[in-house]
Amino acid sequence: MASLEEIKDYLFHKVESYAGKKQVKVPHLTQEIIEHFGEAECSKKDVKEALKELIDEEKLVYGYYGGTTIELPHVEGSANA
Amino acid sequence: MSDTPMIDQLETGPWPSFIKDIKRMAEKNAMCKDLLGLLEMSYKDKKTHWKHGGIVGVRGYGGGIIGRYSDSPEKFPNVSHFHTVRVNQPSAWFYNTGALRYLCDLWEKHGSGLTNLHGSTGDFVMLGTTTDQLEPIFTDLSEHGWDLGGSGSDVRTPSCCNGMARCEFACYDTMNLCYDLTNEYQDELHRPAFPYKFKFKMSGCPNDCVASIARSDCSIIGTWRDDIQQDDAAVAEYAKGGKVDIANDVVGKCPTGCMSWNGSKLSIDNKNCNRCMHCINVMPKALRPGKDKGAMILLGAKAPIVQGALLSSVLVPFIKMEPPYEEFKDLIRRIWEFWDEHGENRERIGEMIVRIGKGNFVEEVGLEPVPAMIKEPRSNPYIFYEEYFDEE
Amino acid sequence: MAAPKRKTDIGPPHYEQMLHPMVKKNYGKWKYHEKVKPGVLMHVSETGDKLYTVRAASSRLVSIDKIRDFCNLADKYCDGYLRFTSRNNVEFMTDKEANVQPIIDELAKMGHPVGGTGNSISNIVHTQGWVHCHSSATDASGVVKATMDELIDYFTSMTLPAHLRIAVACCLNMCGAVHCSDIAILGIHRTPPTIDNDKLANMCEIPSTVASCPKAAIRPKVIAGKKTVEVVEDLCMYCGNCYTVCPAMPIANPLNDGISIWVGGKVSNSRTAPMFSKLAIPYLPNNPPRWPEVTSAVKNIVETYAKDAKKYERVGEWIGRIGWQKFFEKTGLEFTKYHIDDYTLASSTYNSSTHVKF
Repeated sequence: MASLEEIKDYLFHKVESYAGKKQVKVPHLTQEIIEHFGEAECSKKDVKEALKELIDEEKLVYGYYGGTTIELPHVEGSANA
Repeated sequence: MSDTPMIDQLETGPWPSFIKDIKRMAEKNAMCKDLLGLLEMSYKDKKTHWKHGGIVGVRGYGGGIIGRYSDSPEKFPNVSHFHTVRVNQPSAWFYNTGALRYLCDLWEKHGSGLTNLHGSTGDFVMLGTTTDQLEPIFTDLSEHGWDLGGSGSDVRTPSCCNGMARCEFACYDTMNLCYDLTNEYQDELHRPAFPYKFKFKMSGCPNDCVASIARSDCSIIGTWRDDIQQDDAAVAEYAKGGKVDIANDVVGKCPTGCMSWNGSKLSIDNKNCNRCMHCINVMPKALRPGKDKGAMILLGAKAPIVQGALLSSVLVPFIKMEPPYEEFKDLIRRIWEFWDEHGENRERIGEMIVRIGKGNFVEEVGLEPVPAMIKEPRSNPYIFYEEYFDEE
Repeated sequence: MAAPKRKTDIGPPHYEQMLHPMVKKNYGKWKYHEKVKPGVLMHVSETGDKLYTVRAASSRLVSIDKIRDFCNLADKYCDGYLRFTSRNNVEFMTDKEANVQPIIDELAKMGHPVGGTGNSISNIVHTQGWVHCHSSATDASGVVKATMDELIDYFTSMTLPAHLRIAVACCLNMCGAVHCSDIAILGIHRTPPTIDNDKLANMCEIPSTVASCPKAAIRPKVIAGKKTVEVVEDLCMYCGNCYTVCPAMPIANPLNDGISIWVGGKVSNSRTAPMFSKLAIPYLPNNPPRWPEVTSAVKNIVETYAKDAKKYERVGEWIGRIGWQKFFEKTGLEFTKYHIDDYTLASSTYNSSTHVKF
């Protein structure tokens, strides 16, 4: 079994790799993470738990682009742009 | 001369004026003052002056806050940030005044003091605050027993009709189911993880006062399986003195022709009744839904964007709806699992069902196809047979 | 660094604490109801208890001071309980018949007419409009106020053939899901977003802007060495999602935005199955602050229906009986090529019969 820390690490790096390139959503991320570790090693529930911790630790944040995305933290948007 | 001559014109007339209400707050809240200015500008320019753009929320949650910014921060600095807070409403929008006053006091302290009672999905909507106020608002709310509603790709705040609290037509306890599901799905409501949004709405009978069949991905509409409860004495009372023209207004309007009236006795062929509610609506004292009550589950309603508007369609023609609602929750779990795996980005469940075929969907979530699911069978011959014979 | 724990996922307060004692006592025991007069309902329980409800108009956009006024009224006459309806009305419930008239009188003083029950036009459900939405093609609150000022007599009486439900949505996204209303007032954009090619690259992420389009109509482009995007106009359906993501692509267009009118939808299953609203008027101009073209169009449809429909016929049922030909004839509305569907399954809306009225 992959440890929670391993899943969190991989999940974080996956989101990092998408930054500025693709708005990534949870179902897509989840599938990628499970594919990477293999179903025997990592379940949907494990990914969910890892994501919840990363969000609670504010290492990742939710975004919204016509549906919810997962992103790296950023400064507040377009208020005065 | 007023700064806002155009919107001022909406202060007159018999209907309650939202401009009057904003002005009342503007006397003590700078945000409301600037909102009036911004709105006047929209009325003059015939266009919106709002932007979305930013992503804001409270820690740990992906839903409940909608970021909103104006495009004229230099002119109206007090509404340059004007975010929405969706507070999960109590079932069927019943309140005691203590609860409402608490929400008012909180909103006076932390925001514009303007609200929507209620938002389209059902939330108590607090309209207009800044990012720094969000965490204090949430902490205060949760200490007082309130929580945020949904937004984004999550379970949206469920809502329901007033059901058994004040309606004799309710075929199941809508308010209890709404409360139960909202609590059951807290994680799904606050941490968006679906392909797109998912709405539950509960109506106690086929009159569907919360428009669940048009406005929710999962519509739970009360119905009954046995005979309409009929009180002949009360029927006679309606007939007497011509209070109701039973031949024309009741029997004549019955869509299935399952009723007849011989001038003194109303007969209903209940096996052919489709539970439309018309006769019950006209004579509520004399006719009532049957005793074997439950609900119908329909899936898939949505507004037009992207693939066109859909109404929900029947998935389960009848299910008993009593706590702890295990059979229903089990079905929802199977539906979500399938949608999670096969739903495309930004695809509502109704759109997915159309894409993959309702027959396939029904099979995948472990249900049997039944005629109640459709209006009519296919008229085209393009059947993908899954079983056929090979020569040995 | 994880911040300190605070309460999450507690859900809304339990509804039981929000119920008037009379409601709680008779929960699930209601036997029948009567419409005592416009805006007043009487529910009678198996126990013999009677509950009176006074329903009043509200503007949906309400200030906390207005809510406090409502609370004062509820404290005075309703033991401190009140509710709001799915159509943004406010309801005051009391077990004392003697309280009904004083509640109505005080509501009148506050500027809140009582009505919206039975065969009336109830409150208009609506969206945010220019008050608070970035993709709106029109205002919503203002259109509602102007329309209901015109139709007030139908709110305070019960003289129509059946219920008449009006809804306003300020763009095609339809937060208010107006697509099943007797009369739907729908804000429309008619042109694709404009693109500020100079600012786009600075203000927006190009990949997310491209990805935001549900029709894949946005493509990356380089103009004079600057990265920007282009819109394939034939594919655009004016949803404004790109503007949500990228403020350099405003969808609003004052010259072309306006309002369309749709009729004949319903959600109730009474008699006929739920129906979508269908196009009656493809375009009316945005004419704030009182949208006279819109209010008179709505009034015309309401009055034609009120005169011509049979008892218990909703707008859609009335049109179903007389046919669309007669609908356009009786209302005097112009029929155009835009009324003929050209989207998916359009052929199912063609008249494939010889059933024509002359």
